[in-house]
Amino acid sequence: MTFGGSKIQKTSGIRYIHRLILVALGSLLLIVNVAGGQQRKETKRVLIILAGQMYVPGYELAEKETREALNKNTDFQFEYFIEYMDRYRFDEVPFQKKLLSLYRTKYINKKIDLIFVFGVHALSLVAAHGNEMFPEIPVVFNGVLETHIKSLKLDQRFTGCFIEIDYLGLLNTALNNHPNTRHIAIISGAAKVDRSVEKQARKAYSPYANKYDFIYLGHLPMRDILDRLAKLPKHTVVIYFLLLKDVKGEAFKPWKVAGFLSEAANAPVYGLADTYLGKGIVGGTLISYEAQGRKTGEIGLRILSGENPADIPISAEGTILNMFDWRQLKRWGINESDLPQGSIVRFRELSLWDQYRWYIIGGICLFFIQGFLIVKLAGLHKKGKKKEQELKASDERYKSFIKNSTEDIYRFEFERPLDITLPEDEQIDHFYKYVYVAEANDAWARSAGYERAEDLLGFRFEDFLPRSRPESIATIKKFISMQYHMHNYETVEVYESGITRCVINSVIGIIEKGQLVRMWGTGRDISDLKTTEKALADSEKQLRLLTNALPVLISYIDRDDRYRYTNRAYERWFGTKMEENIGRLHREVLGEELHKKIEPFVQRALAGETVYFEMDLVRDGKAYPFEAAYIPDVDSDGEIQGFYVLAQDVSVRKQKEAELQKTRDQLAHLSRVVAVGEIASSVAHELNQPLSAIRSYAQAARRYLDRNPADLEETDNALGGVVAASRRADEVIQRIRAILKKESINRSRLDVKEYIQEVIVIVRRQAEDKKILLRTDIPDSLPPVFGDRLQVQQVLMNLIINGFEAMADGEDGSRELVVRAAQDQADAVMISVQDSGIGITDEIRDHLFDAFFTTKRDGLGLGLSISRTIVEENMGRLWCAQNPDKGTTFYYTLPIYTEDVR
Amino acid sequence: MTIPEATVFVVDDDSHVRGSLKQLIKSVGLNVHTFSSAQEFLDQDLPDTPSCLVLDIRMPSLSGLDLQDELVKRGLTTPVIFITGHGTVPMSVRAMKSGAVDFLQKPFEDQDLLDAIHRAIEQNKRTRLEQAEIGEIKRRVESLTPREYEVLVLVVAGMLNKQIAYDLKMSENTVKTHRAHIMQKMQVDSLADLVRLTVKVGILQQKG
Repeated sequence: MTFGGSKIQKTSGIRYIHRLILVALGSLLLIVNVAGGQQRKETKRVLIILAGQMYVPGYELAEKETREALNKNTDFQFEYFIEYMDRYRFDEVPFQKKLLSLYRTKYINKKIDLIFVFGVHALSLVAAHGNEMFPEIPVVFNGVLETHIKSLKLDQRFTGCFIEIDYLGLLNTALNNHPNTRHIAIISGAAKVDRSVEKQARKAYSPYANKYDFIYLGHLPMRDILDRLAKLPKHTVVIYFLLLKDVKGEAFKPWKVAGFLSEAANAPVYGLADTYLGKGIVGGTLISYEAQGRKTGEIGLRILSGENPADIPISAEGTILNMFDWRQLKRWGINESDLPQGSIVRFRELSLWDQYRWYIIGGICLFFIQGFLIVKLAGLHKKGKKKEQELKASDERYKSFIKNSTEDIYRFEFERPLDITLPEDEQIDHFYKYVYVAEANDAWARSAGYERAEDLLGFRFEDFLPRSRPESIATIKKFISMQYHMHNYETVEVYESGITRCVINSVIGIIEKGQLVRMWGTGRDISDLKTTEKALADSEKQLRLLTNALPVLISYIDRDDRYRYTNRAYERWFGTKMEENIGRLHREVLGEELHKKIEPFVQRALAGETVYFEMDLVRDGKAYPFEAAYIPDVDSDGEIQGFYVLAQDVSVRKQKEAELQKTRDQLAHLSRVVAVGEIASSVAHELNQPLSAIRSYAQAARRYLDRNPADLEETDNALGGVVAASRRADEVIQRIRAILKKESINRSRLDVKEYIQEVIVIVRRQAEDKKILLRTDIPDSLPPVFGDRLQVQQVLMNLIINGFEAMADGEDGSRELVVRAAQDQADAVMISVQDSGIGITDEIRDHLFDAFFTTKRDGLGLGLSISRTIVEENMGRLWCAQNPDKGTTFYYTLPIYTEDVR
Repeated sequence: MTIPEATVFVVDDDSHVRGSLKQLIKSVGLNVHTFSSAQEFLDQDLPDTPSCLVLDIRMPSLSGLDLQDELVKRGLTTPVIFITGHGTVPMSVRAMKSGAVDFLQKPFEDQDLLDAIHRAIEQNKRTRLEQAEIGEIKRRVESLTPREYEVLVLVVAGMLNKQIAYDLKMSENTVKTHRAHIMQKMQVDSLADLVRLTVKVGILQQKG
């Protein structure tokens, strides 16, 4: 489809139609000539060998252009022989040999004058075997790379042109069209040649790497490439080179890929070759297969006219062209005047073609009545030109108006028209999918945080009415419900630039045949107004809410000692209302007496100092303790305007603290009772042992006495046992009684070993029951400590019993609890209780000493909490640590006894 | 009744209890050895005399019940009397099942303990005698030649000489000669006596 090659600003649409008609007429003439005038022109036999199959756009274009160029001459007429090697689909060696022998047989008796080869495979075939098959016949090639030519060692008969990729030209053309570009997405596939092209591109673009963000997408499967293209950041251009295969090995036709990519991309796509043009790419500095074809055709003519092929240089000159798709230029808001000099713009004529189609066809029909045709065409031509000028002038006026407007002016286009009978949801979908900004002005761009109107072109709804925001959906729903005519509707727009603006929009939708095709609109940014207003109101409201919710008395007193603000707590305390307070004197509300007391603090606050103090306030004859802060209010000039008063009634807190202490004392006692309860069975056994021993001793004594003669010595021994055992029973009873007795703290000099042993005796039985090996490691040389005997014994007992419980699930023989004591620092002894139990996690350790925290099924969660309180009351510390192998060790310290410690 | 050669072993970790038991048992003229742990007792070489064991059930590391299990494992037949501060039913059931002769709760009547000790020692004596007799019979059986042993098995199974000869593929006269040697070596005069001895060491079952 190339009925449209035109140099911009030189060839108007109308003139192009003339050319077309001439071409068409020329063809007709040619047919007539071929039929009737063979003698007048020499016939040349031209063999064209194409490497690929039919309908490969590059070759097709080139081949067509070659023949067109040849046919332009007046000296020869041509007989064409065309061979498609189909090399890309059939690359087996035996097939190639067969093909060669086929060509040989086919053309051995034809006198071929000139050979054109398209593509490297065709060239290498002719280069390798051409001399035997077609001796002395000149060969003109195209569609090959320069490296191929070098490697093939072509002889004198060969000339032609090669393909060159202008990497930098392509990049610069894209950047020229999109001056705000920040990101450049590069796509080249995974086939060998794709990779080599990408490698070249990377090399060529490396100097730009610090200026632009290059995103190479060739390593992704096609589906992912398309996904990525749909989500490219703003200010991206896409450069697509070549994709024969994607990374998954799937084969593609590169020109078709150009279509997929352009369709998917949210950014303009620039391409490699003119075969991509019309598929959706904007264009670029392209390999022109068309120009390649034309050039080879012209070279062919020169050779046929007698020039030596060796004298015609092999080059790519003139085959790289700046070409663009008019429709895409419009879409991306690119002015034709900004394109590089000599750019070719295609596809602009579509509408004109539609418009003038019948004239053209009519013109061909009317060729035979030539005179009339010429008159008619000349008339049309003039008319068209005049219309065009008028339009241009009007367009200029319109553009200037839009550009200078202080309000947003914009036009949205639909990639697909919207059927207005669709349900609302589907319509909303459609808006997000197919609507883009086709026209915008600087007023909109600037207020949305962009530099130029062009930056907004191509924006989607999502780019300023994010779908996630209910306001966006509300706006669209409103537009739909207002039958696509919306007036002064307040919309919140959110941009990627970081700007959120509030706009009053008026939008009109253009409906054609029941379908919405376009929208025009204007908008006025009212964000500033809105934000300030709202921020002020919000902050005051929040402040009021906050201060009123606080149980703190808050007020603001100005430097004239008058109230400016009081919060609810303040009003409640003093029994006043804010409205009454405002403007009243501070001393009036507080009363003379109180005011006198606070006077010095007021003075300090007004001097710029933040003052904290405690004071009792009296109400109804009762004193309430208060903590207060005066915070000076310094304005921007550094002058003190007044001060804030924050005052809090702390009576409740103080009362709570006292209650807490009382509770703690009660709990300490309770825990002692609980601890004793826990070991009750041990205690019973403890008493049972000496009792049992006493009985046995006594009975033994009786038997010795019953002997004849009585054994008095053994009787005495037995009675000694009775005394010792009964003493022990007494000790047990004394100890239990002492522990149960609630006494206030009574610190004294303690022997560490002794007090530990006393506890060990109590818990020993429990250890035996639980098959726990209970060991102690206490040196004799320890200095005495200072503490409340009962309290520190209670702590130790608690720790030991905890240790027992931690080991409850352990294996028999593995349960061991060791109580150690050692001098810790110069002034303390450290006692440790080490178990081999389950250990404690970090999580538990954090709460271990919290009251009511327990991991035991029936624990109170008080033991460790109280233990710590007790140790601290005894000037020590209590902590724990994980053992390196297993279990936990609890440590506590007690101060070493000295004469002056008391 | 005094049994001078008998020994009572006491294992208890409480020194008062240990001391008082020693005094009590000594007062009736029995030999007493005391140990403060089960392990200490196990490490001891025990004298080859009738004995019994007075054991506290609850002790650190190896308990009384564990010790009892260990004795059974070692094939020792010393009877065990348990004493405990506060025993439970399952505990006493387990002890009795493992062969304890008595289970006393502290504090106990001295006579109860002493009676239990005597019963245990008597039992131990009987056991020891039985073991001695069985040992003697086994020694006699071991003195038989393999061929004589084969004949013995068939004889006590009640087979006639003719049948034995057929079974063992020998002449009837040879069977008669073997029988004579067997009676002599086993030191019995009648077939009835021979069967009685072999039943005690379980030879009859070998044929069955």
